[in-house]
Formats: sequence, C-alpha cells, structure tokens
Amino acid sequence: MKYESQKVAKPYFIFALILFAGQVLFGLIMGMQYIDGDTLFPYIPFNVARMVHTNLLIVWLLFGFMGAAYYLIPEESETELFCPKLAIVMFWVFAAAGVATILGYLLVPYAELARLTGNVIWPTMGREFLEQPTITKLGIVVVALAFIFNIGMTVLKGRKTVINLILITGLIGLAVFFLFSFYNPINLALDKFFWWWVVHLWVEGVWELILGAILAFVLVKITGVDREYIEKWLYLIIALTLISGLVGMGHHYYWIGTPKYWLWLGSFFSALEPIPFFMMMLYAFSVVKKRRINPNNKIATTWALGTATMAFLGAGVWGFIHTLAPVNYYTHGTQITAAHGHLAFFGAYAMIVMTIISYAMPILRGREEGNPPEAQKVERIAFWLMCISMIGITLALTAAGVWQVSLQRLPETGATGFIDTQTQINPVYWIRLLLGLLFTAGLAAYLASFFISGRTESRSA
Amino acid sequence: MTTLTNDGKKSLPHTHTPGNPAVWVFVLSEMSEFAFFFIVFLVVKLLHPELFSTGPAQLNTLAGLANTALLITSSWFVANAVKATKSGHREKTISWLALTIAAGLLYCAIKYLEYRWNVDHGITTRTNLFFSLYYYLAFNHLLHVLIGICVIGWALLQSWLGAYDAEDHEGLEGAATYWHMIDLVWILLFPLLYIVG
Amino acid sequence: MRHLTQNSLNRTWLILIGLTLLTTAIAESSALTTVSVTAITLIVIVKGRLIIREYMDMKSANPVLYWALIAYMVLFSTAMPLSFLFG
Repeated sequence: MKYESQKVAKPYFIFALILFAGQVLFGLIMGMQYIDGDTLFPYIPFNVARMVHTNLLIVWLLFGFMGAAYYLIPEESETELFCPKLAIVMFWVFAAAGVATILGYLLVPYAELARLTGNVIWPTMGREFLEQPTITKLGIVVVALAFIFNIGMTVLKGRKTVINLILITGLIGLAVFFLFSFYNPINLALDKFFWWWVVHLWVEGVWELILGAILAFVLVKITGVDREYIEKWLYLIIALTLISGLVGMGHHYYWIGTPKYWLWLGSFFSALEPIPFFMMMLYAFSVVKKRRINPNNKIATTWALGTATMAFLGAGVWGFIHTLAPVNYYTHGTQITAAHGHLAFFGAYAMIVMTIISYAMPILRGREEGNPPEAQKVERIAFWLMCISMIGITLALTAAGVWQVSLQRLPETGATGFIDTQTQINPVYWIRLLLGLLFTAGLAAYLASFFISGRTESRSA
Repeated sequence: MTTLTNDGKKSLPHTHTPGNPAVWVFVLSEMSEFAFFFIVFLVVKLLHPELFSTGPAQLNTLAGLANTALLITSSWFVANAVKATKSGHREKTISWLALTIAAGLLYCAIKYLEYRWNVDHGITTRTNLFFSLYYYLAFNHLLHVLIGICVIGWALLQSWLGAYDAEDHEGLEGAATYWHMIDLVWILLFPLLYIVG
Repeated sequence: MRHLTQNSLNRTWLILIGLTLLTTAIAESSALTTVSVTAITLIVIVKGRLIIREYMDMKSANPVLYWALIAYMVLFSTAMPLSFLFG
C-alpha cells in the first residue's frame, strides 16, 4: 500500500461482500418461489424477495465501486485522500441507511413503509430498482456527493491520469443519472422513459467507464505493461461505449409509447454495444500476454481476464440475442431478459468488484505479495464454481425463456397464459435452483478464502 | 514477484493457435448461437416433416450453390492473405483481403437477387415454418457476413498501416478465423436449407 | 505455417469446389435417398475438416479447439441424415 488513506477502502469491500452474500441468499429464496410460489409466504413474499435481491445487488456494487475508488484514486493521483475521515463517516451513513431500508422492506408491508416515510410528500417509491423510500434516496445523494467531493478534490490536488479521469467521469455520471429517480411524472410513458435513465444508463453507459478504469488500473499493476499502451485502448473502448450505449439504451423504448424511430435507433446502436466489450476482452488478453512482471498474486490476473470474458458474454452476446426490435417484440421481459441480466451483472460488475478486491484486499491486509498459495487455490476454485454455475443459470434461464416465448408469445391464437406457462417451465427452474446452490457453494468458498492464512505467509504490516 | 524476459507466456512447442483468446471466445459464442438455431431447425423439422421435405426444392439452388462457391473462394483468399503476411508481402496481403471483401459483397448481392426471386415465386417469411426458419437462418448468416466484411476491412486497414509483420499478425489471424467460421456455418447451412431440409 | 504451401491452398480450393458441385449434382440427379443424404453428410464433414485444417491452420493449434470445431461439424451434419431418416 503506497498511501495510508487507501485503507478506507477496506470496510467498503468487506461490507460489499456481506451484502453480496445477502443478495445470493434472496436469489435462492426466489429460486424456490419460482418452483413453489408459496415458499416462505407470508413472511417473505416474492415481490419483497425480488426487491431485496435487486436492491442489494445495486447497493453492494456501489459499495464495491466506492471501495475501488478510495483504493485506486490516491495511488493514481499520487497523493493521500483529501479527507479519509469523511470517507469513513459516509461509510457508516450509507451502511446504516442501507440496512435500515432492507429491514424496512422485510419487516413492514411496502405500503406501510411508504406511509411511514412520507412518500406522499414527494412520491418516488414503487418502481423497480427505485423502491427505496424518498428519504433513503436523499441519503444516497448525500453519500454520493460527499464521495465525489472527496475523490474529486484528491484528483484535483494530485496527478491526473487517464484512468482516474475516466473513473471520476463515470462516478459523476452515476450520481447525475441517479437524480432521475426523483422525477416521477404521472404520464406512464414519460415515467418509463426517464426510469430507464437510472439503472440502465448506468449499466450501458457510465458504469462501463468505471469498469474500464478499474480493469485498466488492475492490469497496469499486475502486468507492468506500459500505461500508454493500456490508455490507448481505454480511450477507444470508452468512445465506443458512449457512442453505442447512450443511444443503444433506446432498445428499452420499443414498446412504451415512444415514437417509432426508437425501433431503428435502439436496434442499430444497441447492436454495436458488444463491440466495446469485445475490445475490452481483446485488450485484456493481449496486455496479459505482453506482461513484463509475474506477480505472486496470480488469482488477480484470473479475475481480470475472467471479468473481460464474462462481461463480453453476458453484456455483449446475451444482450445482442434479444436486442433487435423484431426479436425483442417476442422476447421482451421474458426469462431471456433475466438470463441476460444475471450474466451481465455478474460478468461485468460483480466480477470487476471481485477483481479489484482480489488485487487490493491482500495489500490492504498487509500481504504485499498477494494471498498465500493455499488461499489463492481456494479462491480459484471459487472463481470457477461461480463462473460455471452462473453460465449454467444463464443457459437454464435462456432455455426457460425460449420455452416461454414459444408458449406465451409466438402463438397468434390460443397462447398459454403467464402463470400456466411458468408452471410448464418448472423443470428448468429446478435446474436453475441447483445451479444457484452451486453458485452459493462458490461464494462460500470465495468468502472462506479470506480466512486462509497459509504457512508461507509473510506479514509485512 | 518474478520478472519475465520475453513475451511472458510459456507455450508448448509446435503449437500455434491463430488469433487471440478473445477472438476464440467470440467465435465460439457465435457458433453456439448458430448451434442453437440448428437445434431449433431440427426440432421444428421433426414436428412438421412435410414442410421440410418439400421446402428445399422450392428454393433457388443456384443461388445457394453460387454463394457456397463464393464463400469457399473467399476463405481461400483470406488464407492466402495470412500466408502473404507470414512471408512478409504486405502488398499481396492487401490485395487478398480486398478480394475477400469483394467476394463478401458479391455474396450479399446474390442474397439480394435471391430474395427478389423468392418474392416473385411467392416465398416470404410467412409462407410456412420452413421458409420462416430459412429466412431467419439465412438472414442471420448474412448479418454475420456483413460483420465479417467490417472485420476484414479493419484487418486490411491495419495491414495498410503496417501493423502486421511476418512474426506479429495476431489481429489478421483473428479476423481470418472469424471469416472461416462464417464459411463453416454456411457449409452446414447450404445442404440444410437448399437440399435436404 | 510451414505447411501452408501455395500448392496446398490451391489444391484445397479445387477439392472444396469439386465437392460442392458434387453435392449439388447428387441432389439434382434424383430424389433423395438414405444413401445420397449420407453421402452429402460425409461431404460436409470432409469440407469442414479441410477448411479447419488447411485454411484456418488449426493442425498445430490447441487440440481442444481443433477437436471442438471438428466435433461441431460432425454433430450438426450428422443431424441431417438422422432427421431425414426419422423425420
């Protein structure tokens, strides 16, 4: 660790992984509810489980990104963090708000939660991913502003690199687009139009900048390849991301009452979206091939290459499968969407957080040379278990989606209803649940790997 | 931490896989996509055998034959382009790649004529399930040819800029691999759509 | 790369074109039978193998990838006669 203040990243990383475990737990609960809808009813109904699953995902990724930023910004800027104390205070504010909100979801009926938090005064609740009470949303804004202020001041007083400038651009974009969660027009088409700006302009736009910056940082560190070479690629990837992603996001606008030209704009630009992901994979492999150092932390390289590959498969390939308007006409909102969502979120964003954790956490814990081989071995097993089971889940959901489309969407007359279709797909949901258990085993192995000290360990701090 | 001397990765002697691992992830996912379509085709065929036994004869075999010949020839062009780079002939590489693109464009032109011929003979996407699948598969393949033309065009540009030499031409090999994949898929599609059904 | 002599590329092209014409000739000459469909399948496999070995230069490549490509061609081309027989 080069700068003392990088240490503030540690609680962020730890809490992110705790929330990740929670997310997977609720994923398993829903996996069972898809098979038997009454599982755990009335204690945890499906809609609550789903809300907790998706909200935890977003929040743990935000914790991960913040940890990543607190770790890499001082090192890139070659200066201590502007105010480490603020970062620690904000950690507790964010963690407390997050836990309180999740407990609110679980303990109080949603309508009651809305009443308690005064949703009528400024109604923002009730929309997917944006279920948080208005007061929590305001808390998120405060945390985000403090975070960006802290990071921004650090960059301003220190060295400016392509990596930290792209990272901060992505983070500012994240905060700006979140503001649209406060805009809740009565007109449903308008509501939907701007609703997509929050999470989906994140994942198809600004988050890709964050992903690109973190990946580039890790690659610089673990390969020793010239920064200039990596930056050249980064420019190209970011440019292509913004060109394709910002308009390509229009593939959500096909059927919500927007003008017809969105069919063309959305199809064309979103069809280009796999290109930056492909380039990211291409450059990750070629940078690793060109590497000039061979660090003892080998698993970090595995994570970096894995992220690039799985992001391409999940966001690129599985996105492309159903992005063209004529295909999307039949597949919109089916299990094919769920398949894409799972592999893209895991492959791109969950994995990039685990990549930076895999690189930075050993250093934060005083293991400058990386974790001991015994721990890396377990982490490697965890890596493969999680990747393979997630691909399995994706394939199962894709099969479920195709089946669903053929029963529910394709027939011009006599189509099967939604619930009847779900009942028929049941066998696939069993397979998905088993793969979900395998994923949980992978996650358990991953978490366990942090507690393996190993005999050859050399503590330097 | 150890410092590496040469290009880092030790590889087995006498093995050389063309292209970058990333290219192979891409190529294999494209092939999986087509595999999925093949499976759909065969499942629908088992459900409606009568459509599939009469369907292929109604299609324009000459168009299918011409496009097969074109793609095989274009693969030959690309293979020659890679070979020219390996022996250090940049000019020749550029010519072979230009020929590949020309063959790809000709393929598209024939597809256009074929679709017009189909319309004249009353074959549309909605005629029956066989033709729906034929259009879906063939159009998807056409899309891949278009992507392939862009990929080869990029390799041509790189070649023209002098990015490749006899030792280092991973990008060109990757582009060539993608193009050959398009050819392989068509070799399966040709008898499936135009002959056996 | 040493295997890629000019001759082998050209020869491969001639064989591939010949096999394509042969496929069409078989199909056009008479109604399809089990024998002719099997012949067409074998031709597809031979064509695929030639492209993989000669044009893609996979002879000395990672064996997993090489066999994956070969298996792909064999699998989906043999589905053809099987679906012809049982379809």
